[in-house]
Formats: sequence, C-alpha cells, structure tokens
Amino acid sequence: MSTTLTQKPAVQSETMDDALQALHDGANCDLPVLPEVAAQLLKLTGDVNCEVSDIVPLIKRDQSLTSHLLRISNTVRYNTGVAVSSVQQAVARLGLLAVREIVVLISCKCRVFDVPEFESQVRASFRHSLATAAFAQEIARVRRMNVEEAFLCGLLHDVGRPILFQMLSDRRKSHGLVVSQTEILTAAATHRIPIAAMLIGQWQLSDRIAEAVRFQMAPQDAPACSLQAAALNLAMDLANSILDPGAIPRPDDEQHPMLEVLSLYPEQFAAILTKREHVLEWVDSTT
Amino acid sequence: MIAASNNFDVVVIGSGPAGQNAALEAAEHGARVLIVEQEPQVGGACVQYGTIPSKTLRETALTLTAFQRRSGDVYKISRDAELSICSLMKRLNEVVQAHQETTRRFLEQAHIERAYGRAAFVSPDEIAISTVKGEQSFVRADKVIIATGSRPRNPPNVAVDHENILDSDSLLSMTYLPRSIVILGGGVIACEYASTFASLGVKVTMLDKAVMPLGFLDPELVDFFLQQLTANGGEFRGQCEIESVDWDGISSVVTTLKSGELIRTDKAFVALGRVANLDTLAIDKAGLQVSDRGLLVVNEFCQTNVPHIYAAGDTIGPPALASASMEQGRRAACHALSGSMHSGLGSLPAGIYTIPEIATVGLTEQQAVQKIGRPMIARVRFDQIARAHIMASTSGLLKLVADERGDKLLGVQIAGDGAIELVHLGQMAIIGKMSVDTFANATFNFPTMAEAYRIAALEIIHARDWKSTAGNANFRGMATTSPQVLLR
Repeated sequence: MSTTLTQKPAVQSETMDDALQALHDGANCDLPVLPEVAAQLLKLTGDVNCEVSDIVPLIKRDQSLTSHLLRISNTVRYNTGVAVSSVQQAVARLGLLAVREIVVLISCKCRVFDVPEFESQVRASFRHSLATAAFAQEIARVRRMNVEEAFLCGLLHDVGRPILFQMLSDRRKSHGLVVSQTEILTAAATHRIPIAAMLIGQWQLSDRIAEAVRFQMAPQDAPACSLQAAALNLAMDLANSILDPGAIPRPDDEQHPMLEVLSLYPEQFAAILTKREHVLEWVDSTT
Repeated sequence: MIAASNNFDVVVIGSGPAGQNAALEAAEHGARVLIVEQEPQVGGACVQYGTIPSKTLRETALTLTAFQRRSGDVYKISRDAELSICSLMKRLNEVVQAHQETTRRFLEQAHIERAYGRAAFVSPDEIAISTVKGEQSFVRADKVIIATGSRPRNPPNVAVDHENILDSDSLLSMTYLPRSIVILGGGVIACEYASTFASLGVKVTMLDKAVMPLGFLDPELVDFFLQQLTANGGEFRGQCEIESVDWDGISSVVTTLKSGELIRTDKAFVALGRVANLDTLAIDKAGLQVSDRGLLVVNEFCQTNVPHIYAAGDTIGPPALASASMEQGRRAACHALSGSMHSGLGSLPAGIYTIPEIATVGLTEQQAVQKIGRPMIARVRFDQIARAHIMASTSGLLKLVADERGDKLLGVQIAGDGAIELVHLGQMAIIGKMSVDTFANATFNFPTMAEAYRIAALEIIHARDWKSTAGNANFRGMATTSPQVLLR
C-alpha cells in the first residue's frame, strides 16, 4: 500500500497589486468610523429618548456615516426608485423612523478604524474632507450649483485614502502582504482618487459626484462635470490653506486657476474667504 | 490714454436677449461693436438659469404628461415623485450649447468683438473691463447700451441658502424632485414653476400677498391656470403674509405665516420679483438716473438721461420678458445710430409657460372696456375644436377682443396647449390691422388649432349681425359659441 502525500503549497505573500485588485473587486469597501464617532453613535442610539434630529447632524459631518447611510438607503430594502444622493434627501424620502433604523444598523455593524500606525493621517484626511466639504458648499452657493452635491463631493473626495490605510494594514496581517509603512502611504496617495470614485459608484451615489471626485486634480478633463470638479479642486486648496497655513498653492492670492474656470470675481471669492474662520471652527468642533 | 483700437462706436454691456439684439442691430448699421459679458459664454442669465433651462424642464414635463394622454392611455407614464431632475434635464446641456453656439456664430458673423469681464463706468464714455483675476482694460464708446439683466429679489425675512430655500437662479441646481415645495410669489416665474412641478407630481403650495396670481392677466385666464394647478394637486393661497422661512436643519423647510400657521415642505422657492443688475456698473460715474425701484430710467427709445447711454431688458423693468428685451435692444441700437423713432411695442405678445400655457397680445377685455367702453368679445373653448380632441388637449380657451362694431381686432387671449404659438396669428392680424372678418373668410388647414380663430370670428360676426338686426347693444359676457354659429 502506498500513500500519496499531498504537499501543502507554501503560503505566498500577497503583492501590492493583488491587494489593490482585491479592493477593486469589492473587498473591504466599507469606510470604518472613527472610534469617538462610533462611541457617540452608540450612546445616541442606545438612548430611548434620543431623537433622530440629534443623530442627523452627526451623520452629516462624518463621511463614514454619510456613506453608510446613503449606501443602505440605496439598497433594495429602502430603495425608492431613484438614487438617494444626500442626507436630507434620505431623511425626507425614508422618514425619520427608517433613518433611525439604518443608524442603529450602522452602529451595530460598522467597523471602527484600527490603524494605529496611520491614525494621524486618517484624522488629517477626515479634517481635510470636512473643510473641503464646507468650502465646496460655499462655492456652490455663490455659483448657484447644487449645494448638497458639492458638500458630498468634498466630504467623500478622499475616502480612498483611509480605506487604503485600513485595507492594506489588514492584508499585511491576513494575506501576508509585505509592504512598509512608506509604501502604504505612497499607495494611498497614488490610488486614493480612483478608489474613491469607484466606491462612490458602488454606493450608488450620483455619477456627477463620482466624476467630480475622479477629476478633482484635473477638472478641465472632466467630460460632464468640470464645474463641480473645479469647485472641489478650489475647495481642497482652501481647506489646505486653513489646516496647513504653509500649504502651496495658496488660493487666497486670486491667482488660483479654478477662479477663472468658475468665473469667480474678486468680491465673490472674498465672500468665500470670509468663511475661513467659521469653517475651521466647525472642523475643530467636529474632529 | 486709451489706444485707438479700444475706441468703439457702440459698447453693449451684457449678452442676454437685449444685449445680443442691440449688438446685432448696431453691427447691421455698420458700427464697430464690442459686447462685454461677465461669464465665459454668451447668453446671460437667460441661458444659465432662466428661460432656456426652465423651458427645457417644462418641455420634458409636458411631454411626459401629454404622452399618456395622447396615447389614449395605451402607454402609462408613472408620475413618480422620485424622478430626478437630472434625468429630466438630460437634454439641457445640448440645448444650452446649441443656443450658445448659434448666438456666438451670429455675433462672429456680424464681426462683433467680445470681452470676457465685468464692465464699470469710469466716466460717461469710458468703461473699465475687469477680468476674474482683477486685470483691467479700458475702452471708450460713442454709444453705450446697458443690458445687464436682473437677479432674484430676496426679502430680508427669508434667508435663501440655495440649498433648501432656493431662488430662480438656484432652483434648477436641484438634483432630485422634492416631494413638496412651497412657492412664495404669484408672478410669472412662480406660476411657471408651480405648474411644472405640480404636473410632475410634486405637492405645490403657492403663497402670495395678492388675492390672485398673475394679476396683469384677464381673470378668465387666471381662473384657467388655477383650475389646472388644482387638478394637478397644487394649491394657491392668496392674501398670505409670510413671517419667516427656515430650514429645520434636518429635512424640512418650515414656512411660518403671520397667522401663526406652519407649512412644512421639502424645499422652498422664493419668486418675489427681480432687481436690476447695476451694482458693479458704477453708474454714478456716468451720471445715470435710477428710479426708486432701482431701475434705469429711460424714454420710449430706451435712452437714459445721459443721451448717448441706452438701457434695455430687465434693467428698465417690466414687462421683463425675453421677447420684450430683444425688441428694446433693437430699438435702442436703432435710435442710437440712426435716430429711428420706430416703436413696435404695441403689438408685443406675452407668453407664460405654465402647463398648459397662456398667451396674450393686445388688449384684454378689461383694458378694452376701459379704453372703448363696449368691446365685442368671443370665446371658444378648445373642446369645440376637432384638433384639440385629436391632441387630447381639450382644456383651453381662446378669447377675441374686438371693437364695438365687431370689426377691428384689439386683442387675443389664449390658455391651453399651443397657446404661445397660436397667439402669433392674432398678433399678425393686429399688426396688419386686419378685420375680424379676415379670420372668418380665410381658409385654414383642417384640423388645426387655428380653427379657434375662425370660430371666434364667426361668433363676433353672428353677434354683430344680430346686434344690428335687434338693436341690442349689450354683448359683453356673451356665452360661448352657439351650435348655430358652429354650423355656418
């Protein structure tokens, strides 16, 4: 009697390309929430006297909760026939009870960020996204563009970065991905935009938001939403200017290339710049 | 010192309907013309936020609602409130681009020069043009035509945020149809959007200080508008005083009436009139006179108190229609360059793009009564017209206003599908000083909506004949066409 022994294949280390492909294929696409936001959410939803009106502001200023709410609102269970594309639309369409139900679901299922080595970068990305969202909606108000959509563009324009931090860190542990911290930082910087645009598509948000996010660094190339992309681009730089005063380019010298694209005259731009302190205060109070 | 190349015969400020037509007319007179526009594209607010986008949305809504009706319910079109505005407006970019391209080509063919920037007077004949980046250039003009248009007037007790509380510049930035909307105002813009949204299934509540909307129209046409609005689930509430309009921070706009009543809707639309765009023009440097309503004061030739400076369009106030603006632009250029005393406003039609639409030209019944005492009036309901039945558009009314003898046509009022095109037949008749009999004797294609004119003319002739026979002079408020008249 002979016995044939099958040899167990050696565990192969995953490459960065494999990991990114897995992300493209839909693995770990949920954006985790910051620990303090998760704690706040649990506290609010655990309180029987809690009103949804207390929860909505928390959702609106957190890209993770926003993306979860919109994604779940667009699932078959809640789908009302059209893509829900803003938090207020979700609340108006689904009703307060359904929103509360979704929020409880998020608080139970949602992952909390667990990337201690990238914590400062994740927080910086969240702060930058919030400031970008706030400036984007001010630009949209001046240019009579859709304000809700502009806010979402800003809020979600960088979601690819924290997701990449979390996902690549996870795969170092689970799939033997051998990459250094620097390589993860580089990969996040390189792939954050296509990943963000892809996820926004997967979450069934509007094509315009996905396009503006995809062309955030080259608005003039956006086929249908160049103005939205230009507003996002300018808002990103305005956010940089308040969060990192030494950042280049500084858009407050009236030479930002998007001013001409958006046809923003000096007094209109000055009106937007007056919001800087207000935006910074709001970001500080939120994060 | 301004270079010779920067000396122009005519500088037109603004490229909306008034500015374009002023520039084209001036070029036609052989003038060297510069048109200054603050946006990169020509067309003004009319193309960006006004006439073109709103009419595109309306047309789509109209097609959706008419399709089911005209297919005899063979095809069911869901009047689903979840329809997104974006999908309804998919054609908008094409429409806007086509319009801008045509305008640009016309201006180029006429060798009209263009400057992208904001104009401001330095002196009565010198103008500074500032770019977005703050760079300035200077031009000198023998004649200046101001056509900078208008913007929505927003009252101090309503904080328009362009997100949940919108005005007519931001309304069509919405990307989804709200379930409900409160509309403040009862003018043309308010009524047009009210009927479009109501026909798309949005619950519309119109609130206005006045008892009735569209106060300048014949009351019969206003009644018709209100009937249609109500039939589509909309509501008009007159004599309403607004205390405040606020976003609740969650999902609703709360409108508080002075009576204490609260109205909660998804969105609010403020349509309480418009103000002229004069802020950045530095008109004081030109010495221009402004009315207490903030409008430029002009004479019948659109000439301001500074003889070489003209103004046209919304900057001079009502009727503030694109068609009127075009005519004013032409008239201003003609007078500026040739001293022409031509004035054509007497036969200017007005079209209101409600669903169904409303159109008027010449005198209304009420105006005719004031002017001549006892006009002869004929009414034809659309359900008396074969073509209207074929089109499933039997809700409508055509009203002819003639002089006391039933001879001269003084005015035409129409409400119903196709009214805005149909009114031009009446306009031509008024311009051509045709008699009412012309409509009765002319042969129109059959079946067409133009038949309404013939039926109405026959009614007046019938009444006229009866009046001369019976000596009865009171024909005002006469009932609709009798079967005997229809058989003639």
